[in-house]
Amino acid sequence: MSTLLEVDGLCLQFGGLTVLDEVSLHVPEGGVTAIIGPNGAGKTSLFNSVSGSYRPHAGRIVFAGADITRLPAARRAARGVARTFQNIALFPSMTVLDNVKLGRHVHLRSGLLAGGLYLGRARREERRLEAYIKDEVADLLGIREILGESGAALPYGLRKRVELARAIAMEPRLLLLDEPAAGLGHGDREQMMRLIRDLQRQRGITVLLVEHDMHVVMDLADQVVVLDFGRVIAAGTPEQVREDPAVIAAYLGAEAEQAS
Amino acid sequence: MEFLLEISLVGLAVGGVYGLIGLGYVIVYRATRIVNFAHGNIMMFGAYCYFTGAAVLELPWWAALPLAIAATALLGTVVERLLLRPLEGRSQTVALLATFGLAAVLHGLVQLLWTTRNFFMPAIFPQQPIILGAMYIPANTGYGALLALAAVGVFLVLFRVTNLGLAMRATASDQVAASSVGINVPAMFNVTWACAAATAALAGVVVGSITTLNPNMGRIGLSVLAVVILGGLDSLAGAILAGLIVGWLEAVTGFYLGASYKDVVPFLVLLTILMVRPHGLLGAPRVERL
Repeated sequence: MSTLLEVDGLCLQFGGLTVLDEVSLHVPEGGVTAIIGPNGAGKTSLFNSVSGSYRPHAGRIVFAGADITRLPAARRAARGVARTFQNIALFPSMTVLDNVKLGRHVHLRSGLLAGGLYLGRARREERRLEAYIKDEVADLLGIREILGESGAALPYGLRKRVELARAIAMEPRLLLLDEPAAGLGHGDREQMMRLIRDLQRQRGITVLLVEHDMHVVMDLADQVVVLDFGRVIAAGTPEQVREDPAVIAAYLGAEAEQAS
Repeated sequence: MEFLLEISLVGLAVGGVYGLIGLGYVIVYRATRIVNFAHGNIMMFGAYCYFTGAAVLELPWWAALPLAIAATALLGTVVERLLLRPLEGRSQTVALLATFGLAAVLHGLVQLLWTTRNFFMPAIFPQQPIILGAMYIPANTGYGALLALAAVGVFLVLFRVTNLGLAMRATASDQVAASSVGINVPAMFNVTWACAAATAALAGVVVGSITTLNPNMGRIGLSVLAVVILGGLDSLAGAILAGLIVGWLEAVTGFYLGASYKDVVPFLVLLTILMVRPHGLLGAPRVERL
């Protein structure tokens, strides 16, 4: 498997606080890589650096063979990096359809101004756009029935699926999922896991996810990277990582603290 | 009764023009959280551009109007690119003060280019007053209001149905999420300023036609800012609604209580309403997370 995303020696600081310290990792194309670690280990910061909302102070991010370290987030999205957010970033005043449509933004051809105005070419594109969303995205995520509803009014689990739908509509090569199972009930969680596996196997989307739920991580991931205090302390298959003494110390230590 | 109706119609017509001016404040505020204190003077710039096209170059109105709108939209993009984008990441107060400075620069520029004289705007509308039964509405006010409301309508439709409008709304709602789907956020700010300036140019032509053209006409922008605050700084519908309310109140109090009350009573009402609804009639109450 070739490497789709390579993070090399990434350093990130806020004020005097080091959030990421020489983080390096390889995300193989077509697989599922999970980043785990105790709270505050730098997982979301790493995500934000890859998606482009944080500017690292040192290090390189190479995506599909090109250095994207200095590219703004929107340009990375155009190259095929999609993401979801830990606290779900839907556009609350818009319908579900408009939210998902925004995921097609990078694929729209005929001028932005014409789109939606019923002017020949733009009208055809608009029809194709809605057909694509219905057939390729909405059915897969089970949101076809709620396309006309307002994004803000939906229950948590559905909002999570709409946000994922928006990311999938981008037809990304790399999908960054920030805690996709967090806050979901048992049934929704199983469904979300099936969905992620389908996206990876059927659509060939490479997945990089942050997750606290070990059951989800062990079940989905081909590769697990463990962060602690902004450093990579272990990387390997779920089995390798589970046996790693450093991980057990960092993780069980943290869990033991939580339990007490 | 007939009088009240006539006064009301004229008031609502003026209110429609306030609505168009207010629209420009709201679209910039929604996208960038900047209150643009130069909006009135951008409007004045647009009016002078139209004057130059129509009176100096003697172009027909259908050529002079689009040219004035385009020139003013260009001014909007230049302001965004050269004045506000470099201030990104600084506090909102800095951007706000920059727009104050811009207002002063435009005020001076207009006097340099066109002197401080009063000019009459070349007629853009039919000059026969509109007569409805026994009611009489001055031509420039009546047609100006129709043009203003039509412009507001067209803008709202474009904002609602085009993909550009969708991307602009997404940017206004959540910049991080917008850039995560590939929307070029700085470009959207630029387009937003251009749109606001374009509506200002149209408003300037209407205001200049109703009154006269002079370097102080931008002051109406400050009155309309108060109107927009009444409607809710982030509400497009609020700007229109508040414009109509204040236009109507001005006309009615001006007629029944005398012209000197016209500037006082509407703003007393405005203050009263804001005490009850600090976020304006249709504005979103701001939720501060601590």
